[in-house]
Amino acid sequence: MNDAIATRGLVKRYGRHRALDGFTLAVPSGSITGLVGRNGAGKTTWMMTVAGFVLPDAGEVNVLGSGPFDARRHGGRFSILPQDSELPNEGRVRGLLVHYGRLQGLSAQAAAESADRLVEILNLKDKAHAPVRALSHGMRKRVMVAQAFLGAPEVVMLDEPLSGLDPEEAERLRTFLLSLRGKTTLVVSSHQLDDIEKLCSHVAFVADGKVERMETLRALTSDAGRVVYSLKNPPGDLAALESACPGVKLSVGQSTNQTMSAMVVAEFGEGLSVEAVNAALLPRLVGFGVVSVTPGRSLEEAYLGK
Amino acid sequence: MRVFRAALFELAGAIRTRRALVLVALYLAASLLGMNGAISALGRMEDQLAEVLQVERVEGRSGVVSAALWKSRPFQRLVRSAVGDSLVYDDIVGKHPAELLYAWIVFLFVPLLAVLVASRRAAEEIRSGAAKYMLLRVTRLEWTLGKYLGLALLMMLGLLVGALAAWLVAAFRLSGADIPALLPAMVLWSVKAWFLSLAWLGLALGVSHLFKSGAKADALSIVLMIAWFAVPALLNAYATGPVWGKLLVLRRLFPPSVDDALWRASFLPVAASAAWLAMLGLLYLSVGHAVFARRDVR
Repeated sequence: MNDAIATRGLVKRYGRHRALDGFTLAVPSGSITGLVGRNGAGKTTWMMTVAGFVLPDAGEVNVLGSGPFDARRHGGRFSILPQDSELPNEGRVRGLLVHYGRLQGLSAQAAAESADRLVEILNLKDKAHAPVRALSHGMRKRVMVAQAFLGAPEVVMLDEPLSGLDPEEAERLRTFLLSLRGKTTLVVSSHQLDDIEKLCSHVAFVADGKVERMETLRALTSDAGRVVYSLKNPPGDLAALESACPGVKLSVGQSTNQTMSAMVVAEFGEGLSVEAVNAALLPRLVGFGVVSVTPGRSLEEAYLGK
Repeated sequence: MRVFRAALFELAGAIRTRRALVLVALYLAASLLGMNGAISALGRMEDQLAEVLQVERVEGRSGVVSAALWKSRPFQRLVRSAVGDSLVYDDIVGKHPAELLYAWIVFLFVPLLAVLVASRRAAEEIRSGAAKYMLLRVTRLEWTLGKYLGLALLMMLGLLVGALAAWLVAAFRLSGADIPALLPAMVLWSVKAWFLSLAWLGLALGVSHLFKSGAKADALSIVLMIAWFAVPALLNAYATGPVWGKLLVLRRLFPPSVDDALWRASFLPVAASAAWLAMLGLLYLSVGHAVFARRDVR
């Protein structure tokens, strides 16, 4: 699989602070890659650097196999939803989108068709001819998303695409993004790990200006040596349960879900399978009200336990 | 092509932005009021002259005596000494006072108008982040040139409307002149002033590329505009003698030292001055762009 974006050893300094400190990341073509990390970890700076807005002090950027971003080479093929960037207030929604489409090389008809399609997908039809300044925050956000998908970009980077959207519009956008899986390379930065888990095929953990870990979502979350049982009632004597299943270490976690009062986490070595552990433990846990059995771990658990 | 598209977008944006529209409207108002006030003053002066010379007054219409006055040799000598440049004098002598009044008004206001129209345009888009949506699609150089061209089109539009408005005032208030012939003359002065505006637009837009704050860009642009008027005057006054006198060549870098030739009637000096002013605009702009090309757009 080719890399849609490859950066190596990127460094960006702001005074003494290193916003990027050897940021190396390859984004596979056709993937949906999530960037996860604390505020100030370097996610946004990396995106801005790849898009050519921020000039790196050192390191290499390669977009679509043809060097650093250049509007002449990559305009229309690469796009971004930048964070905290206002649209021109004086523009009108459809007119603005058509203008951006024309600028990136679309014909008048193609730009209009693309703008209309995105206005429809992002539920902006009622506001198509409204000035940007008259839109709510969420609506503006959707116009910003729309501009990123004009034409048929091969790579789109989205910085916090779902923040500020109401639940219905967030779900609509998630569905749209998932419809692009395999066709368009997406990079999504978000603090909402649920969203990353729903959308992404790959995840990079970012900290202190560098990538600490980059894996497929499956590799991060499907841990063969772990099963989580959600129960209605606390299980009582864990030692007795452990003795029924040698090689399994049990621990109790507090559930945050009000329909459950406890979680039992079973961790085991390579000699056991999920099926064998279930066969040994489930008959003994049934009396406590098993609500769910989840093999592996959530992205949040993987991130916090990294 | 993308520069032209960016320019049209800039023009539309500048027109929709209240600030640019208000500035052009203020220019129009200044042009109208200035023209009207100047014609009134001319009328009063003519009335006094008529009284002194004991000739018949033309009630409510100005310009009759002035047109005759231009033909008087003592008056011509007076104007020649006031203008200073005999070549310029030779070209403006005989022109209708209303035409010259319009030229004076437009040359007076154009630097300030150009600076105020352009000084925030890049800075505010960099601050708001709106520039990013453009820079995904055009290079930084195309963005800069698009802005410059768009604002130049806006100035052209404003100046032409200003010429038409001033001509309407003149047509309503003046007599003793070939009124229809004044319109192309005023349009020509507007075109000359447009070339002058190119230099000031380049200065202000270049400054605008240096800041993320519109207020700072405004402030530095206005300070530089004042300095750009002062430096040639200071050079004229103090750069004397065989050594310091060589500094006089630097005056060519400042529009006030170049725009005198725009008052000429012959094509060559006007064209040379216009081309030089346009080049100065691009020079100032390129300095701003050179800094912008090496800075982050965050």
